[in-house]
Amino acid sequence: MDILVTKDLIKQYGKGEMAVHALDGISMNVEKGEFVSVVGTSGSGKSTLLHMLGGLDKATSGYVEVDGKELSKLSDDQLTIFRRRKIGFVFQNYNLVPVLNVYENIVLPIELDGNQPDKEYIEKIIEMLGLGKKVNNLPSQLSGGQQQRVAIARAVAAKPAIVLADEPTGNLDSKTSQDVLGMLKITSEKFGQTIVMITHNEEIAQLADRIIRIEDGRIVKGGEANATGK
Amino acid sequence: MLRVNNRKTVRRLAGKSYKSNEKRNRTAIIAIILTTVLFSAFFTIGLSLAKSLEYNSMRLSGGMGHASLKYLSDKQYDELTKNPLIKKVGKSYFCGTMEDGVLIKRPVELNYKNKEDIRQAFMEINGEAPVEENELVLDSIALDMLGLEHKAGQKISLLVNFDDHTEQVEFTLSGWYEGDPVFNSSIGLVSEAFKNKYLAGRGQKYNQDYDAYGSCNANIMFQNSSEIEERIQQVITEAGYSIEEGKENSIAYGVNWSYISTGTDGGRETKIAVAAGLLLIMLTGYLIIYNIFQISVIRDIRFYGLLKTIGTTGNQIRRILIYQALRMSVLGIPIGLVTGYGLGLILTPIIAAEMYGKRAFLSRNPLIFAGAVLFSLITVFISCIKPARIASRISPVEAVKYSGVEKSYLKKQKRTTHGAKLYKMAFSNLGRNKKRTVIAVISMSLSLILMNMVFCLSSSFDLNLFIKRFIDVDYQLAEASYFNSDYSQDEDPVSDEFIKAFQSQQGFVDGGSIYTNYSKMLCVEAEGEFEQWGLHYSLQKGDVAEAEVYGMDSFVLDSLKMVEGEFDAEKFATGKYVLLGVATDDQGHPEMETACFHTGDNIKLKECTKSELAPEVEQYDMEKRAYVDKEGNVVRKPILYEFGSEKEYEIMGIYELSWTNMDRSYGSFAVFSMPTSELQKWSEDGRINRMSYLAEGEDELETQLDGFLEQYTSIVEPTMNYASKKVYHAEFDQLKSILVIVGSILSGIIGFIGILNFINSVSTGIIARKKEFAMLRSIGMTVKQLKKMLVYEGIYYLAFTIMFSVSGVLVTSFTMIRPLADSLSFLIFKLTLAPVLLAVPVLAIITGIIPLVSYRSNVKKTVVELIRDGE
Repeated sequence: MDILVTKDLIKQYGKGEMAVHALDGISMNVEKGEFVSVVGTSGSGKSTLLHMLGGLDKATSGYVEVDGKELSKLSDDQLTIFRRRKIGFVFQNYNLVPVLNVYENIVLPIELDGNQPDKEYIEKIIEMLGLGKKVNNLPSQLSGGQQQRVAIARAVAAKPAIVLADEPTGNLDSKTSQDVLGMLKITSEKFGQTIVMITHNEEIAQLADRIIRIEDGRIVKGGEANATGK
Repeated sequence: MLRVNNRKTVRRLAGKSYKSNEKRNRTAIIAIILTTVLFSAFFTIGLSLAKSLEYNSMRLSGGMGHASLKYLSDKQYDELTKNPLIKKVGKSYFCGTMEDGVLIKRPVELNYKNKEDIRQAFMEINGEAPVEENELVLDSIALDMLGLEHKAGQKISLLVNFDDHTEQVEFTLSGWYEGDPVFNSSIGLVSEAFKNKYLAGRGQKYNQDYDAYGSCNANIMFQNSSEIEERIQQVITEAGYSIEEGKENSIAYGVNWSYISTGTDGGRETKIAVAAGLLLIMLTGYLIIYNIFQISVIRDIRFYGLLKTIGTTGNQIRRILIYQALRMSVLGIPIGLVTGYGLGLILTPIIAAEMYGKRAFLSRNPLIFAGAVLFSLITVFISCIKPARIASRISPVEAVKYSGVEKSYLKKQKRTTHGAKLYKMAFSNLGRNKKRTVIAVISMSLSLILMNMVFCLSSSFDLNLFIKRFIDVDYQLAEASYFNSDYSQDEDPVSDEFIKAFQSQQGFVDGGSIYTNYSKMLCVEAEGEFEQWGLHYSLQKGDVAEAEVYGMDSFVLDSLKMVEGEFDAEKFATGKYVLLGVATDDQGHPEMETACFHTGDNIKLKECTKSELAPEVEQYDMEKRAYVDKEGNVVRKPILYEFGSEKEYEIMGIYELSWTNMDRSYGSFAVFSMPTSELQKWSEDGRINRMSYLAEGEDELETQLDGFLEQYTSIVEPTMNYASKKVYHAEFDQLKSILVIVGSILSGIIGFIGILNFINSVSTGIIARKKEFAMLRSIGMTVKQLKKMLVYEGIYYLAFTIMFSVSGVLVTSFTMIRPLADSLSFLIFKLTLAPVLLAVPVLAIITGIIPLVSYRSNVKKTVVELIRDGE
């Protein structure tokens, strides 16, 4: 079952001769429970793609469908609400709220939605990510790896349809990177969580079930689920 | 050390940085303008009031000269004023008086004064000083009486009294000056030619013929005001004249008491008040200017870090900042000066009129501008110090990371598992930059506290107490001079016509008169040691002291407030009894310790036909508070009396002296009241002087009665005047409204600064968190939720401000307003929080809207752009 589908996705900056095609007709799909990595050099359009998938940015043409909802048809606020229910983000620089402690950061999207967090589930995630002793700490008291683990916990806390990770290890040393990726992978397997990860690091990309390669805004490899390998 | 000429470069950098910060500059310049406005208004009002006070006291003492030599001949004048001790001398000739009918109420004395004397007498002539023989300058009051316009060039024909003859003189008005209602007479200026024509040769031998016409006074200014008396005596003796009275070559002199009596009383309070005012303004200015610079430095920290990386020293960076501050000051201070001076000019007369009831002088003292510029610059510099230090000390590496937000958020843990609620997040956000939050809160609170203080003070004003202090009956009718506390028993009675006219009015209920005896002095026998009005009396058996005796109609007697004994009208009417009056203190309590007799005492009143100072009396000793002889010994019987008739009375009781039942001047040894018929017996022909008439009117007809009195005293008998509850009510309202107006303007300005500060803090907080907001939105916070969080933040600001203001109000009310209220009889301390509470809705709107507006104007980019900004 496809949880994520894009069709002829085009994102164009500027007009006429000055036009730059950040995305030039991306068609791809991701199945439920899949761990997909998107690789490409810098400027290849992979971050733009992630923003489109997460509903942070609007496409020039084509469409994105997440969990059966076409994102372009949603208003700004509807999109935000959709995002906090269906999409979890993990950013390169963690982006935790500095005034909230670890626990509060994790449950923030759930509470923004006006829901009570599933405590058992949250505790399980916290335990699994090794954050048990840190729940009361503020982000400034955590190492980079710990912060990113908090970000991962936050991303999956609301049981989203898909987790989008943008260079999640970009700011971490290689050992910590391995830890964090391990966590991401375990999360994917244990909770059957769909994950799309962007990276420019081939080695890291190998951890995924499938690799989608982008160059100059086009998919050069791996756009279709089950089309290649697996 | 090698001096490198980098001034130009630094200045250019400063200029570039200045230009790139337009929004900050605008706010900072407004802040500097407002600070300067406050300073210059403060100085204008302060110096103008000081000048008005000085003027009023000097004017009462005759002018600004330190001392004067009186009744000089021209020859004496020349000899005496040669003395090198004298710095400046004003020359004034007494030239006659006006004899015109309409001027009876306002006698006009004619003087020829030289330029210096005109200056010393504070006469600011509109037009020209008289030069031609027939030229004249009058004051506005005399002109009004004569029914003339305030305009030079008019022709007036006036009868002038030269003592030996009177003469009709045709004058041309060459100018006029603002008259002072405090004085009962005006001075008309004539020319030297006038003096020479009409008074040729006169006034040259005052010691022999006592002809003051044509004699001259020298009003002398020394280098400074120390040892005035010694120096003026020296001037006289060195010229070969005598300072002793009554000799052929003696010269009469006077010392300006306003220089002597301007003791340091109240000097300390004034200094403290001035210092407090300046500090308050500096604090207000500092809070905002500091905040603006601090924020701008944090925002530009990468720019400063970059400069550091490429080799700019900390000192140079500091200079870059100070250059910018100076540039803003150059723009802001002049605007502030003009506005503030203007504000001062508007407010001064309002305040002065209330404080002195007299003319206000607007100070043009350059100190106003110098002071305002200096203090504004000091405030700007103080405000720059810390931001400049931050900018200059930042390490280039840190600068890249520094956002001024997280760094100060050093809390390690936060124990809660309740999750993240918007209102909690908002609360935490306020704590991220505690200093900035505190500054914004204090800044907003200052004006609230000040405003509340003003209203607390004004609501403590008690109308009834205020009115009671001045009038304890419905109406008091008297001759105009009575109300100027200038009543003399020989003259100025209330006219029968006036009283009859009033009695015939609808609404008149009852009334009665208070009389004084006509030019006859009464004394009372007493024995013992007494302190009365600063005079020490040491009286032995048979000694007497001056008594003030009033005759009162039964209406007045019934209205007296007895504080000792019982008043029995029937017994009193027999004429065997008198009542003793005692004054009340500022709180309205009778000062019983000043009562020299008590109920049941028998006293003996004596008519005094003659009194004079004993020959051995040399002077009055201020320290001993008694008359002393040449050796400084207290003279036991300083005043010698000759007595006429006498009579014994019994004291029936003691009553409170009030503003209406006496002549409004204190100082007699004792005050007695007796029935009118009894007072008449002390006068050979039964004539007594009706000092004032007290009356009761129907409350419903108050307006008509007041209207009648107002009209009667202005049209029918302008020399009569009246007091009523309504008149004092109006005065009370005026006093209160002035307090409120001045207070509101001040707190308005400070409040505006507070709001500016709040805007500044909020928008900086938003700008610094742009990226965080983008992140919050990416993980699912709707714009609505984000705005809600910002509104919560505003609400917390509001809550803190209210908390701070309320505690500030409580502290200031109890430590400042309450003692003040306790010391003034017409104030009853009433704590009010109404102004702060009434300001809450307004503040709520402001604190609710500003974050939203600021968000809208600062966060326009899309989430993606915002996220990318930080990477």
